[in-house]
Amino acid sequence: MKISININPDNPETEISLTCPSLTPEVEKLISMIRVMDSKLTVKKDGEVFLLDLGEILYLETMERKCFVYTDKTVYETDAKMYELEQQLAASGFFRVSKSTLLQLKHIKSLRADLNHRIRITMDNGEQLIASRMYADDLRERLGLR
Amino acid sequence: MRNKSGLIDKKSFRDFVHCTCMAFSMQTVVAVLMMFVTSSDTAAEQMKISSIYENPGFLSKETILQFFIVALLTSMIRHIFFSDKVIKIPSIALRITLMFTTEIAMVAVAVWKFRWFHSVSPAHWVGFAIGAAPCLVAGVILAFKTEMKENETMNEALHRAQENAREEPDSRVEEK
Repeated sequence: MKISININPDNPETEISLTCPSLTPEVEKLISMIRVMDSKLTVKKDGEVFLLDLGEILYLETMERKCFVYTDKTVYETDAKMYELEQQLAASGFFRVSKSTLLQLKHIKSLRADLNHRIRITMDNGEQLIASRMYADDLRERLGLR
Repeated sequence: MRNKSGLIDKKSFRDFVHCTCMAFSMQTVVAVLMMFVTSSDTAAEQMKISSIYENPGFLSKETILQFFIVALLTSMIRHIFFSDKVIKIPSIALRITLMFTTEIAMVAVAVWKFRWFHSVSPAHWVGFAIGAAPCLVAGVILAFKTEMKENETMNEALHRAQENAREEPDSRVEEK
């Protein structure tokens, strides 16, 4: 893969253009990563592709090898893997609360200590998620409680 | 690598220990006091009888002392099993299971060795239960308050973190 960088002070904003023989999964992954840099995530719903603003995402969940993106009212699907998203979205305030769930800190409404050292998380839309015992410690650390 | 013993939230764990131990101590004191009151009617007879086993259901001061010792040992067992200093078991469930197993074994030995079933009447056991009940309720309330406090601390920290995240610019922008 060749990378060429063209620095031109006359350009009003940064522009990325990709030249490729076909749209391979690798290229799609690259596009997805660039979009995350632009605070956008490529998602799908009913066969249509959307560019979702990261601020709208409440949480992401993996179910039966599929990754679902939850906003206030809609559920989308993304082709990206959870571990990739975890790395890409970490700087945007997303973190893992269980093996299958990644959520955004700013959309947490409240927390409640649960049995067996877990934490029950209520999201802005009222949905409840569980931070597993393993990740509850990370959450406490993130909040400066440890 | 994750420190396994770090899996236990020491602060809430310590609060829990304080609550249970305090409730248990209160329960023991009040329950034994209740037993003492219920046994006071037979105090005169107590002096005449050489052995408590000749009169089943008769509660002597010796039996009450045995109760105190067993209660004290139970409290010690709880402190040992809930302290990270003595036992290094990461699983809370395993700790609690081992703790209750040890407690039950000790009480079983005490009941068998001190022949409590011969010396303590059902009325005295009822007295014990009546004495213990308010303290158990107090213990539950204390534990509930601790949980509320933990939730409050956690939510305060959450709102602080959310405010900080709002104030700080996006880290990715700085990296550019």
